[in-house]
Amino acid sequence: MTLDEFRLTDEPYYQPNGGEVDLFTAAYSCRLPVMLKGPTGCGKTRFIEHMAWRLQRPLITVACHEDMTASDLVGRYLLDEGGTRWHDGPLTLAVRHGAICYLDEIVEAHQDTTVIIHPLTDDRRVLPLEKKNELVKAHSDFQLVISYNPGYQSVLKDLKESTKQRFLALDFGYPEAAAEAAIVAREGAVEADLAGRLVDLAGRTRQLQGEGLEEGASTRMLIHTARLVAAGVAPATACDAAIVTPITDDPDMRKALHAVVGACL
Amino acid sequence: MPGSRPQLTVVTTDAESRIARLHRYIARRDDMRATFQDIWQRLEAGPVGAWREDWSAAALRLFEVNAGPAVQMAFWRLSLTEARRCEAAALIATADTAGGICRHCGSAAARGFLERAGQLLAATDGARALGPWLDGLLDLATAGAEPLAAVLQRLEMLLGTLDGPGFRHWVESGLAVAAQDRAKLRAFFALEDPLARQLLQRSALGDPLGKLERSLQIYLHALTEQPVRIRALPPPTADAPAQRAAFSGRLALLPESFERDEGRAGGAVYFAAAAHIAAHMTFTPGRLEPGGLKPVQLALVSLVEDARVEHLAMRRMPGLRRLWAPFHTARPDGARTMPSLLARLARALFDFDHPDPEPWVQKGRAMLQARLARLDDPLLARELGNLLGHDLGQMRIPTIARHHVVEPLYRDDNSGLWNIPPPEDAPEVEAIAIDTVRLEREERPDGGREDEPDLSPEAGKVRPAAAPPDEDGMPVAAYPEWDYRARIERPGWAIVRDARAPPAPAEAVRRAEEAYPALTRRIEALVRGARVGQPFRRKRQPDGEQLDLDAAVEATIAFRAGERPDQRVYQKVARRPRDLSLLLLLDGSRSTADRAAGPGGVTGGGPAIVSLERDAALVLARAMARLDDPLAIRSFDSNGREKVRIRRLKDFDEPFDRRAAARIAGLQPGLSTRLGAAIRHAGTELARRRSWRRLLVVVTDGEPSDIDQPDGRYLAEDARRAVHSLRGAGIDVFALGLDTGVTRAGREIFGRQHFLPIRDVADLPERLAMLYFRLLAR
Repeated sequence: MTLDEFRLTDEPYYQPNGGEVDLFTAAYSCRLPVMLKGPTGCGKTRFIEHMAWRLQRPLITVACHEDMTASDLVGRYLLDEGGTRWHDGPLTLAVRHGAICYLDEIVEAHQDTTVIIHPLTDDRRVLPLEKKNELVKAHSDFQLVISYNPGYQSVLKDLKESTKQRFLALDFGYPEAAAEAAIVAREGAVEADLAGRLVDLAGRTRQLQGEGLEEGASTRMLIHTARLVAAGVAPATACDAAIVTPITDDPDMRKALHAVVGACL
Repeated sequence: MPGSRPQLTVVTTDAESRIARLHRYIARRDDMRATFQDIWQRLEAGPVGAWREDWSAAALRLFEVNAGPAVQMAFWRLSLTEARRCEAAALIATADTAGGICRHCGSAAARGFLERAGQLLAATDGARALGPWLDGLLDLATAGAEPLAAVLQRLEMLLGTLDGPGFRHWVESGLAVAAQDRAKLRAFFALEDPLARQLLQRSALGDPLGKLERSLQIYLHALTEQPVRIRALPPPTADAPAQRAAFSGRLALLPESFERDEGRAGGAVYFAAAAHIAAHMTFTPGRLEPGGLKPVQLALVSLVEDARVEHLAMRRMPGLRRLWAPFHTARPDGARTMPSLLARLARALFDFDHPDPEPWVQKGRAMLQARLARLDDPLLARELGNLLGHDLGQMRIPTIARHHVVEPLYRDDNSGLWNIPPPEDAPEVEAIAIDTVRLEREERPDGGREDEPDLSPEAGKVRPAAAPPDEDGMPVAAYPEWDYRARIERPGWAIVRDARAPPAPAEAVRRAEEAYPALTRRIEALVRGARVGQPFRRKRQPDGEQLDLDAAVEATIAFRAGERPDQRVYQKVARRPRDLSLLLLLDGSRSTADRAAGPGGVTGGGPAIVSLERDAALVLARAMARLDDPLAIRSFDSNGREKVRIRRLKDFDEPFDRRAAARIAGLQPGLSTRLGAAIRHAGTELARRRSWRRLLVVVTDGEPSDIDQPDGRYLAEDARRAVHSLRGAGIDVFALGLDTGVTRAGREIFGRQHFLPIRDVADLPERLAMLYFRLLAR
């Protein structure tokens, strides 16, 4: 199995923001597990795609969710006419055949999934398949990467210390204003001036945690807004649709953000 | 035939239709029969035909209050003209209001009302919008026919000025201001009283600042990139009616309303004023020294500074130009008075393209344009202001008054620019973030609470039957108290007693229950929304909407292996039941006998605080009873550390019935406030509950105090410790503070995030109920 469908053919655009590319390359060369920390929409997923492309490795991404259990990750027995047949889950696939496995928002998943990955993250590098009674030794190309958003974690949902300590962590934030504007202008195909104003707007919303806004406008939101504008939508309307309305349901907050949009554009 | 009474009373038998009864009744009335038959045919052919049963019932109810033929016929005519345009419910509510008016003021008033009700129905859209108007008119009817007639005469103007809640509010204010004084009542509702007009205007604006305050605070935070507090300016005085915004440091002071109308369009003037203040906060480096500057020089320097910071702000946020521009309305053709010249200069400095023939204005603009490169130089304002002031001196124009009003409307009064004594510090801005930390239920393998440590070592029980009951009640527990100076806990220090809760007479209960119709309706909507809990997935179910893949595979394996398969192969989404116990702890200390501020800020004009506590508890109890959430209500007061009296107004397991309501309504002010002991006792009770979430909500109107404790801080520190120990035991503690004076202490005791100061005590019932619903949503 070559995992060809998991290989990236075109370079995903990524604007380095510091030494993260070199650090990740070094981590990969030692096959150390990596944790990407940072707020929603700041480019974590894009970064790992870029790195997979750069390192010429297949990338298996799993978006973790509340109902996801360990068997969704490692695999399960399914039935056919002849009887039961084992079906590898995405993690097992990556471990067997040597891909980078990216578990997005790992804390969202059921607790038992985080324990599954423990033997993969130390020097054993094995994945026990309990139901199949098999111990899968990791392919030499295999690497585990998880993402983690500390912003909206509470005591209810946090990584266990024993899990956290197995990972090397790369901290992602929103890029510097100028760099972020360049990203928005490029990805959203708008002029630098508008991109700059959108970034200014986003910076203002990111201040508002204390006022009851959980997270400010992300780089991704700005790119969405810019794309809408490039598609012919008026900037203020695009901001309302791509930033203000998704970000909050609180009428007071909406009114305020709407006014901030009016001021910034 | 006025005054004629129906010969027979209507005998109700359920089997009979209302339509038949109405017809039989009319058949006996010679004075109405002919008219009715004609009208009935036309009504039946129209929309009333579809709801004639309800309509007939409403007409019968009018007979039951002895409304007389004139009122009855007025209703019929109203039905004929309006039924096509309005909802059935609106028309029937109108008839019932006429009945209510008839009961209070007689049939002439009811007829007068029905004759004008067409306007009301036409101007409001549906029964919901109509409700507050009808409620307001009914309230008015309780005060007599005269004020009602006065208001009905002005109905058209009022409909054009106010919305329903605004009308209701205005009527309530009028009734409260005039109390029982007939002359005052008449003067108020005939709008002869200037206060009536002022309140009308405020109701008409619908408290614009109140509605926008939080949005503006967020807006200011976003624009200045720092938290900003907002405070309302005191209402304007008669000799200085025009108000401008102001700022001081990071405090923005905004008028409750602006005197001109620009504010009505989505509050644009408030946002414009906030953006201007934000520009100062960002770009004006600090207060300037007035030195020996004359008022006109101060005004000019301020004006240039306004323009400077606005241009700087617009460089970063170009959209601000659109916000501010509509307010610059100074025209170049005005008289050459000082205020007009200043307004024109303000416009010219804001909009470089605006033509103005006045050389002085042109010169000011040219000077600013020449210096655009050094716009960020804070000395620019003084430099230009002095030059312009010198030129103005040559023009021999009468100088301005000391308190000249800054134009345009949105700009601040410049007091924040100069080093003149600042206004006293503001009360903290109301904000509550309900952030609670609790353990996930799933992480408790036993799921139970019994084997958890009690709140001990705090909850040392006293021998319950040892002391005889007396008027202070039976001692039930002793709690330690924290001495912050010695940093020790004094064990067994405060004795809590279970005191009797005297019930109130039935009439008082009924009155309290009818007090909040609008809030009750809103709560009903919330109750409907809150019935369902959070969704979660259940696996291995005997039925459900999806196959549980793992279970299905196992079952099939078992089947093929010849074993008995487990048939629970489905999964479904279930709603997690809400599981919460709430204990409401009411401050029953003496200060709750104080009266809340009345309408218009009249000190002591409103109801007693304790009565609002009663109402709030009743409203909450009713809402929670409908949701079947366990609620206990306790009040407390104290008389020294050995007599902390807790009254059980309602227990967790007791239904909310007449008896519980009577005890709540019977809450009376007592003595002192030993808060810590009361909190500990409430915590002990809550700790016994097996609910997932256990909440303690404290309503208090003052700092803790007691006769045996001269040091005010002692009891506050003890209360704080009590709150901490409850949180440690997994009980969430929130508090509502009924007086701005208690805000600081309240925040220290309960924590900023868990303390909600209530500025207007009359809001308590609503705020308490809303707090509960917000907690439910989490």
